[in-house]
Amino acid sequence: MNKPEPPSSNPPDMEEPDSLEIDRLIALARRGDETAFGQVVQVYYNRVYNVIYRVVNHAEDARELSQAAWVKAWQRLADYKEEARFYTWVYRIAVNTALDFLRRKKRRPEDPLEPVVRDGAEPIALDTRRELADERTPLDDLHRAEIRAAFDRALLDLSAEHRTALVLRELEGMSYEEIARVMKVRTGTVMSRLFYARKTLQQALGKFL
Amino acid sequence: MKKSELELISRGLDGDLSPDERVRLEALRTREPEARTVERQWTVLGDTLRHDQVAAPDATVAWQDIQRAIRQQAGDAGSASTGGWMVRFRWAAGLAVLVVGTVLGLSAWRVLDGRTPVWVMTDPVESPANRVEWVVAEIPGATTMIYTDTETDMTVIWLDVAQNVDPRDS
Repeated sequence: MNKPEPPSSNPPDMEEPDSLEIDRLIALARRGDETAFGQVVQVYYNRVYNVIYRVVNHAEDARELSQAAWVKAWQRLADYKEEARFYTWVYRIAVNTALDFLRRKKRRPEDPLEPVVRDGAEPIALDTRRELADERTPLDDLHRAEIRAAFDRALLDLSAEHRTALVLRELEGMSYEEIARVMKVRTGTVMSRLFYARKTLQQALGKFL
Repeated sequence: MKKSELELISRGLDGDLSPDERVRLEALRTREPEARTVERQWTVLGDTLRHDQVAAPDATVAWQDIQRAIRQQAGDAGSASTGGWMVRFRWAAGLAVLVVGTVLGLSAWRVLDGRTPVWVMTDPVESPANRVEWVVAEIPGATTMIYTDTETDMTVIWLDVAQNVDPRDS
């Protein structure tokens, strides 16, 4: 089996240090160094937030859940096994926090047209989200808000588990094994969820593709 | 297209194919124009998801919030361990106040009502109904005896009838 080639992922909040530097910061954090942990948080914050946002589809919930996930990560640092990749471990906490939240609420995520709100800034209209990306999307013809909303809705029509698998694969470029570890399922289940998610999205958005 | 072929395309997009499977996928692409369409459409969907990112809150500000939450929870956990006894003590004290208050309140109410307060009633009167003092036996020549059995502590009423008297004569 070939190792999947990760797609280009989100730009991190700050330049991502090499894994040795991350390991050093984590070792310090495990000894109680909050500053070192803060540096790790700032490296991965944006990516963790985006994954959680895509799972719950609500800006404020995503902000609170991100915070809760990082607090849990700090409290459970002693449980982190260094042979696992740190980001896989953090994503596991983040995804479980988001999925638990959805199960607790037992409701569908919020209206996908809800604007994204940045702390202390004006809300960002859905239309302008794409402008945050470095390059134009392959769906360049679909920049009307209603079509973007259709994409969001189709994504939300997936179960939280299917959506999470797709987000971890496409947004984070995780391998089947990594997704399986994060979601605590078998790799066969990951493969099946990704296949189903793609097929369902394709059926929902066929006329736009 | 068969489900197995679509799964092959999906796994191909994820780079999860063995060399044999890659050959099969290539053959499928050549043979089935629909396979190429599906592969392109799924690629577009993935790219769209990747590029349609939201602006996360500022990471530095977010870290400050996280730090505050960590410290607050650490403080809560610390006070929870020392505060456990305090909570129990407060409950016990509250319960004691409630009991004393109830007794005092009832007593005050009895005094105002012209009756003896509860705590003055130290010598309650034994109920006379609990004591057997005498027994009537309308049988000629019969004698009665009342005593307490030492083993069972029960009151025994003994009726002794003379042998030469027929009870039917009464």
